This record gives sequence, structure tokens and C-alpha cells, in this order.
Amino acid sequence: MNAAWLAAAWLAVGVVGGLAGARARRPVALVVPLLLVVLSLLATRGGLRPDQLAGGRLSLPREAAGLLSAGAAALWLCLLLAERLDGLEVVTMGAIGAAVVLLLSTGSPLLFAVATMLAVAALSLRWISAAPTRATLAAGRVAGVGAAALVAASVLLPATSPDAQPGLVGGLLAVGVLALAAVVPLGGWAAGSLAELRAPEIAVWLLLIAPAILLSAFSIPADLPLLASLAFQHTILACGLIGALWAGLQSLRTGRSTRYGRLALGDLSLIAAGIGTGEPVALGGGLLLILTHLVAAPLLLQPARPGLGPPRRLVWLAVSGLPPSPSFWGRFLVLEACVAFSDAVAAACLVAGGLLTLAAVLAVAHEETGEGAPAAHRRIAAAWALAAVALAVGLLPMGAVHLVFGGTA
Amino acid sequence: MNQPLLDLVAFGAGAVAVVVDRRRAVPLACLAVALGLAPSAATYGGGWAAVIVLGAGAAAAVAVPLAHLAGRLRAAQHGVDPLVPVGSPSQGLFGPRSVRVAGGAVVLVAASWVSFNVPVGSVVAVRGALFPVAFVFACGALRTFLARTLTDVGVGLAVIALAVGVAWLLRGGSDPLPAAGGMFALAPVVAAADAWLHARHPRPAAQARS
Repeated sequence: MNAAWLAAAWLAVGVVGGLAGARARRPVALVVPLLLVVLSLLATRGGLRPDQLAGGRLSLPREAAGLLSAGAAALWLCLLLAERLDGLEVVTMGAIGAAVVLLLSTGSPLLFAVATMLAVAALSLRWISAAPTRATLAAGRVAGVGAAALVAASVLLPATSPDAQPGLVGGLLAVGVLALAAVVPLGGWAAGSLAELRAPEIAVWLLLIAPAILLSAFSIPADLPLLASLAFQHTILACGLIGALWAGLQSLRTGRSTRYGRLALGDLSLIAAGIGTGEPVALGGGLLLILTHLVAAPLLLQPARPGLGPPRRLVWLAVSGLPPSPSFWGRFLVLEACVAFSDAVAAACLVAGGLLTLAAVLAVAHEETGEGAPAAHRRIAAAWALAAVALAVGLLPMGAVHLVFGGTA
Repeated sequence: MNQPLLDLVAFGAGAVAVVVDRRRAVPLACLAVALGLAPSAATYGGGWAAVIVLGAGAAAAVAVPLAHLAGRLRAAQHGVDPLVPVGSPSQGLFGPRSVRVAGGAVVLVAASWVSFNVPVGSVVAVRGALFPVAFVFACGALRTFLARTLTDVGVGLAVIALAVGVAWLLRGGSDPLPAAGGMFALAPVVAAADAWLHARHPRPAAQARS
């Protein structure tokens, strides 16, 4: 199965989910993501990431297939742990997943940008429909402009000559990546939506779009001329560090319901900063942080319920940044990249990581037991399974990264 | 056709894209932009390119009643209304259209700068020819950034798709028409989606006009 067929499969799954009746809604939602896990692994082609800006055919590398299959598994757990489903979760997942397959596997800058734009359009429509507020509208506005910036950059590439405004091209690419990962404006559009939306709606952005954009961004500087590459890296580094510091502060101030979202935004910002350093070690850190949130988000995005307290505390520890949690290794590798870049950058990274750790530790200490009826046994079992996987990733971080993203990661 | 004339026609199209509102906003913007960019497409991509741009604008206009009909078949009146401002509307001294027009003045300057300073072309770089697509693209981005309704977002996406399609023709390279055609095809899709959402919220005739 090639990448185009995989994208079609994701879309078909969305259509099937949309056509399912009310009675079949939950069974369909709990079966089709598992199908996507298998299909994503079947579409794997070994080798390196395609150069999103350098041209070439559709090809899904091992890293991207790993991200897609792990993302589908995480979305399945999100649906499993969700208390109610309205039937549109699978439709959104299929539409956005198809676009993400294209953006991860394409070698055409135009298709990369258009796939991003389609993913943002589907996300905006879903978020605004689910909770029509200014915060969700901002998803369409800010992320839409970010996707537009990527489209504009695709036209101006390759910008090889010095008078071709390579700085403008690098800046447009940086704006696009940062806006789509919600690093600018300081997490605003995504952070505002965290309190309004349910876990399955947030998860399609946090577990599919944002990691895919950041994973693709690791290969962008290599495809740019020097000036554009420098503009891209320096912009993304500065904004990433500022975003991480802001997310760290906000995760201390914010309420329990949005604390995990702020913390995840902080880690996305740290990944962006790692990309900006241009150090190869940042890729390992970024993949570890992505993997950490693929494991943690399905549980921590859900509201607290009686029976889920102990596994939630364990998963909070996994994102705390205390050794040997997986987020510790991820942030440590990003810090290593920042140290190699400059001491000032490393200091800012260290402070941001410290704030995020403090916020997670406070969340563990003050974890509420939740209200309402105790969670069903299958949800408790799923939560414990996630806690066990988080522990395993922390104990064998690089093994887990190689298992999910392949040996080249 | 000479460049100032291309710029002038595109300016008119961008102005329509910035100010057009309400129920028929997306197809009207698509038609205006298709008409405004067709001369540029013909200049950079040949006659067929102009035909495809105009076809995309016409397809957007045709897709609206079809999608409206399809939306009415479901007879569902739930979900978000694409014409209702999302969140509580702010009562400001200037309305949303005034803000867009002011933004349009800014993007006019920005598009001029881009046109004169940014060469485009994968084989032979040309300078000074980018104003039509840069201005229309910036109007689409502005429309998206200042959006208050889903229709605003739809107008922005459709306009951006048409502008980038023509820009891809200007960029050149090997056989740019299929990729540009793919971009043009997005405009009718957006118009159909917007019309489908409108159809789920029938309004009195007086409100539905325009």
C-alpha cells in the first residue's frame, strides 16, 4: 500500500464513521482506528524522511508511519476513554488523518502546504461546530494564516539566489510551522480552546497535526539556502523558547482542566526550539517528547473520574520531566541541543523545563479524584495500560523511539 | 496585456474579495477573483490556464445551488451557522468590513513591496509581475485573519487557492498546469461546503438576499 492509498483509507474511514448510525457509532469508533494502525504500518517504506521542499514522489518513511500508527492508537484510546461520542469524531479523524498522511509523505512544497491547509480547514470546522467561541474561531484564523504562509513560501521556493529574499521565505516557513504548532501567539489559539473542547476533538490536533508539522520541520532547514535556513532556524528557536517559558508560567497559573494542555504546548515549544538549534540530537528529543504525549494525552485530556486517579498520577509523573520519566529524556536531549547552540539558549531552555516540571509535580500532588460514577472497568484497564506504557518508555527511551519511529530516528 | 492593466484588474478582484459579505460571499468572491486573475493566468500560463481559472469561478457559482439542494435534503437545522459571528460580537466604532478595508490598504502596500522585491520563477526569475497574485493572496489571508464567521474563513480559503494557482503558473517549472488546476479546484469545493452549511439554516427571504 502506498501513501496515496493510505490517505484514501483514512478518508474512507472518516466517511464510514459519518455514515454509521447512532447505534453503530461507538462500535465503529472503537474498531476503525485499529484498522488505521495496521494500514499505516503496511504503508511503511524504509529510509529517511522525504524532503518536503525538495520535490519528489509520495513516500511514507518509517518515522512518519510510526507517528501515524501511534497517533491512530492514541486516538483510539481517546475514543475508548471518552464518556460520550457524537459520531463526528471519526469523520474528523479520517479527514485530518488523510491530510496528515499527505503532508508527511509528499516531496512537493505545494502539496505539503495544501495538505496542511486542508487539515486546518477540517480542524477549524470541527472545533467551531463543537464549541462556537472566539477561542475556537482563532483556530481557523491563526492556523489558517499559518497554512497560508506555508502556501506562499512554496511558491517562492527555491529562493537560491541572494536577491530572492531568502529571509522572507525562511520567515514564512517559520511563521507557518509556529502558527500550526500553536507556539505563536504564545499558544493562544490552542490554549483558549482547551477549556471548550472534549478530548477527542483536541487530540486530532495535539496527536496528529502538531507532531506531523514539527516532524516535517526537522527536515526543512536542509532544503533551504543558507540565508533562508538561518532565518527559519533563528525565528523558530527564539519563538520556541519564548513559547516554552510562557507555557511553563501559564501551566503554573492555570486551572486543573487546562494544565495538561499548557504543559503539552510547552513541550511542543521546546521541540520547536530544538529544531531551531539545528543539532541532530534535537530530533531524538523531539521524537521522545512526541511519544510521551502520544501516551499521556489520551488519559490526561479526559476529565478526572473516580477510579482513574492512580493511573492518572503515574501518567502525570511521566510528563513531569523527573528522571526516569520519558519527558525527562526528551527535555534532556533538547537541552543538550541548546547547550551545543549557546549558553543563553540553554539557560532559557532549562528554566522553561523547570517550570513545566514544577507544574506537573503540582498536578500530581493536587490530582483530584473526580466526580460522578466510577469509570467503567475497561476504561480503568486502558488507563493502567497507558501508565504501564509510559513507565516502559521512561525506562527504555531510545528503544521505544526506535520501536515506534524506526531505527533511523 | 500590459502589467499595469493586469495589476488594476487584480486590484478590483481583491477589493471585491475584501468587502463581499453574507450568504453569497464565497461564490461572488470566487467569480470576482477568477475574472480578475484570468488575464494574468493567460499571460503566464496560456489560454488554457485562463479557461481553467474562469472554469473554477463558474464551478464555484454552480456548486452553490447544488450543495444548497443537497443540504436541504438532510433538513437538519443543527450545527454551526456560517453567517452568525462566532463568539459574542464586539460592538466597535468600526464594523468588520471597515476593518477589512483598512487592512486592505495595508496589504496593498505589502503586495507592492513583494512585487518589486521578490523575484519568482523556478527556472527564470521575474520581478515586478507578482502584484496581481500577491495582492489577491494577501486579501485572502487578511480575510482569514480577520474572520468573524465561517463564511469569512471560506472566502479566505477560496481566494487563497485561486491566487496560489495563478502564482504557481507564474513560478513556471515543468508542467505547472496540473498543480495549478488542483489549487483552482479547491475554490468550488469551499463554495459547496459553505453553501451546504447555509442550507442547514434556512432564513427568511429578506435575510437571505445578497
